[in-house]
Amino acid sequence: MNPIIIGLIVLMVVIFWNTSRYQNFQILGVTFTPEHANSTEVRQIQKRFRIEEFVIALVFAAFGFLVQLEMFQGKRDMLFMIILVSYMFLSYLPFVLIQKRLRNLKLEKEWIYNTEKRTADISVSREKGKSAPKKHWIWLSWLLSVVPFFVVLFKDNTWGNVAISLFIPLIMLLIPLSYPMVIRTKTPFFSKNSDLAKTYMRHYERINAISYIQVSFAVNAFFIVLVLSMIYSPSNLLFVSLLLGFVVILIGIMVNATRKNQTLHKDFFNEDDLSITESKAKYKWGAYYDSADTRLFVPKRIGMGVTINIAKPAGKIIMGITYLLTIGLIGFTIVMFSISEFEMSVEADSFEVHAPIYGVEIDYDQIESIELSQEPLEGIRTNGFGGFEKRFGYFNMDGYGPARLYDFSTDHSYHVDILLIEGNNPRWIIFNQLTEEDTKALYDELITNWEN
Amino acid sequence: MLIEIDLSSEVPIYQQIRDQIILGVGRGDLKYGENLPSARQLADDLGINPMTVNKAYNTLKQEGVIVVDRRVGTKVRENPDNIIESEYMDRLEIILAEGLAKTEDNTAYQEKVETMLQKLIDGRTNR
Repeated sequence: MNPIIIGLIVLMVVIFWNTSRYQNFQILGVTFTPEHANSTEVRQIQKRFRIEEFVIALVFAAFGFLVQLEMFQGKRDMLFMIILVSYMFLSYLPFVLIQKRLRNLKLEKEWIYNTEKRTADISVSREKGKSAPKKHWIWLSWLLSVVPFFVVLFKDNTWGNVAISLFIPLIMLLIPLSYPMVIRTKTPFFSKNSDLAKTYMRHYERINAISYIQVSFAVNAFFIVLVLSMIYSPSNLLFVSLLLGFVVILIGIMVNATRKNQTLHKDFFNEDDLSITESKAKYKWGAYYDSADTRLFVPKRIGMGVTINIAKPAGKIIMGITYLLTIGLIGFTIVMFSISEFEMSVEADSFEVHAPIYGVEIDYDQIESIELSQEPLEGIRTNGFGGFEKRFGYFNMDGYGPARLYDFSTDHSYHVDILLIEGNNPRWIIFNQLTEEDTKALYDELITNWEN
Repeated sequence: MLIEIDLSSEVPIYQQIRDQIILGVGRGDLKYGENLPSARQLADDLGINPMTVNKAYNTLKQEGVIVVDRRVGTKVRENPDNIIESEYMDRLEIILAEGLAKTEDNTAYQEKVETMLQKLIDGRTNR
């Protein structure tokens, strides 16, 4: 079973479970008073949502198992991606439904709260940001994301690896840059007693800022360990343990913050002081939408951080660009790798594989052995392409270890295995051709040249 | 000191913020030299655009109620120059006349205005 699928599904189920709890006067962005949130109807809707999410996760886990069958060998990467993307879409459905159900229930029961009045306490607002850890902590965590770049640069500076190790710190920049906005997020508690409100705000700010920094450290540390393990000791077991460890840590941070916030809420909450302002925000295209809100950057209603309000023209543009870039990039990569071919050429003193990004050239004196084998090619992709018709790039193959794989998904099981004298990544170069005859012919040609 | 804005009111939001800060200073809820939150922070706490709070702050700055210090941020002006401009007195006259135009009971009206003023002054001296 692909560890990425397991990790993601576990993560999603726990995230959905945790976020569908009543916190900060809201259930998944829909406002409720504590009394209303505790009603049987609301609890039932929450339960239904959790069951739906769980069932969807189970169905997709079952698909994940099916893909493990022998018949899908060589096509697994692409199938996993399709499963993953479909899961993302389908798991969003209960999320939309629960909000609709909760809103309908509110209309039915006439639980409509204040939407027009907004209150802020100047003495509380003024103290904001003073209890959160200083900015340098979050920047320090970001610096960690740059470490893999230097490691890759000196150790394994192939074009693809360097690009990835540069691209990730750029994306990670969003974390420290949004930190001030996270700190400024409105405290979900209101009291006419300024001192009480101030104390609450300080605790709330600290809990959230610290968990934001913890998440940042966890993400960056995971990235470093992942890159280092891929370079120095790629193994499936290590990868699975890393991913599971990372998921457990993330869940731990998230649950811990929710629990602390709930305790804080219980300690400070006073029914007389309660003044709930209802947000009119909805989700459109999976993004925050509130035409009454004049802000572009708004605090996320679920989870930590900041998001954009797509009711604003700038918000629409940003969302459009993000969606286009994501879909375009994935689409471009798939199309580019699918249409491009890899070719092998046997020269007098070297053997060369021509392939986009993952090409390789080996001199014959680097080769320890060449064999024609029928061992099943099982393993995981560490950096490469896995499509329906072929897969190539860096793989960690069962029974071999780190290898460059150039595999056409063919009916015949023959492949040529080249063991290199030196080097750990790759140690092997494994390839086949479209037909059994071609594979055998290439093997014969290669072995003749090498022995000479 | 609490600021409450009403999104459904016909009074512009920046005006509501400006009025409430003036009231705060008048009542003594906000002392001379006291810091105000940054425009971004107040905007986030009220769930409105920072430009709106900026507009309120700029109006207050022009009116001489607050000052912007680059190091410490925005604060209530420390040493008011004790000058009440004639333009302000003209506006006050109109507002007082407006009240008189709506009532025949001059004594009751006068008492109300005096109580209101006294309450503001008491609020300041008690702090």
